[in-house]
Amino acid sequence: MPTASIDFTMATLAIIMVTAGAIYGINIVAAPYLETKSSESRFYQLGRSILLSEGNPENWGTGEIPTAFGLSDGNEVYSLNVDKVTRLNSDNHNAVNYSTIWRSLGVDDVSIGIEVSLLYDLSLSVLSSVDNGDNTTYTIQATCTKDGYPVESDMSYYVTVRSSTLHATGITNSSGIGVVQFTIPDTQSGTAMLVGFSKLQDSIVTYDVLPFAHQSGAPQPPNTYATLSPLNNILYPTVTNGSSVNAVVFSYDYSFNLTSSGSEYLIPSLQDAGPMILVLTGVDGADYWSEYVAYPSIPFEVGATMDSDYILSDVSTCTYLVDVGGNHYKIKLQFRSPEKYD
Amino acid sequence: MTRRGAVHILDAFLASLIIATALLYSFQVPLGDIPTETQGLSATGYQVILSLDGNSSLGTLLLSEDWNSIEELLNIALPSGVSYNLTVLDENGFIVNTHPISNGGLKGQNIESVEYLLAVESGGCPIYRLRLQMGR
Repeated sequence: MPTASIDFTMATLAIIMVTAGAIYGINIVAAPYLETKSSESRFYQLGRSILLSEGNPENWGTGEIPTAFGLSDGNEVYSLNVDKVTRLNSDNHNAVNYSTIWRSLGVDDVSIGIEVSLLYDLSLSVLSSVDNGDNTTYTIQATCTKDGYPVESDMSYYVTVRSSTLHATGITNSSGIGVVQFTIPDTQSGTAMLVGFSKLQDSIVTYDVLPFAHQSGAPQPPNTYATLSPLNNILYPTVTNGSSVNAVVFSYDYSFNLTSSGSEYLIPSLQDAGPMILVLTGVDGADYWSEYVAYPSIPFEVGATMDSDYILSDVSTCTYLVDVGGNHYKIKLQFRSPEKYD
Repeated sequence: MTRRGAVHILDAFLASLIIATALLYSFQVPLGDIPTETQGLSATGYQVILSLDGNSSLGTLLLSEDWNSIEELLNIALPSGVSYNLTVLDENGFIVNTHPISNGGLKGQNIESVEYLLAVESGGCPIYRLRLQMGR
């Protein structure tokens, strides 16, 4: 190999290494300052505006069309109105669609995605069932985690089928696992609804709901028999198959049968903070079914999606801790605008 | 031979300049599946404390000096991957918390700190200064 080629190769390698090292070094040094700068971004302020303002009209949560978008309940900072949040869930009959949200936001060059979620996850599963002749004993497992890490908490469980309700309490241990047993008479056959609440503190409660078959066929997908839309402390059910039998509200500490007012049910204001789970049971021929909805109807996602492979625009994510009806939730706001706008 | 070697070095320099330019440009292309996090640590920390103070849950825990529950609250409320250390000071600047309120000490390349003045709604209306240091 000629000496000049060796020189050339060595020089190329040396310069590439120096250049790559310089780029890496600059990125490492500059990263914290870039992050600080972006924290005051236009999008973060836009998110704050959405969460701290009530919008227009101020009570648009009760059913009106908003002309200015804001989710606050007008009381404490970062305290959101239960009905405004519930109306963002597309499953609700009174939901506001994305077009309305975008127009009322009033910023033409920004599209928005909203995701509201519980602070940690609770997952319920039926470990086993034993038929005792005239009743069946179910062993239920609850698993509490936050981003994969176990969470110790107090637990409250309910099982409702037809018009009967059972209740039990327990804990999740340091591995995030809790186990409880329910025994249900076989005469109460049908789709049973298992509702579990996990409480870390008074204002941090999460939930999960699991329908399971009790001496009946497998549960049908949600909303097969009825859709439930809570708003303004009234539950509006739309029964599409069969007829309703009973409506119940569950929270961590309480459960009540709901009082009907015509075809609607009045939702009581409960002492404990935290989500309420509303369950409607019914019958279609010989099948006893159960449907449920949470109030406020969290978790959900609404708005523009931001997860395309490549997006030639600025995408920003802002996450906030908010209070909805006395319980804390996480709200993630994602914004997209033309590249390099700001 | 010496002159030819110098020309080759110049060639190599230009080639590496082209490579570096391409690398720099590629960093500017935003990836949709990794949205940019626009909040700094201080903005996150301040917002979390403000929200926890909103329904008086934080003030109640401070008044009862329930440091374990405050730690539990912050473990859930702050995003995963954020390490923190909370110091509670009274009106005279003395540290009140009798043991560390932390998730294992400050770690991370970026360390930020926020201070928050909290008045508890009670008879004596005690005032606390919260110093939340965070790392990521």
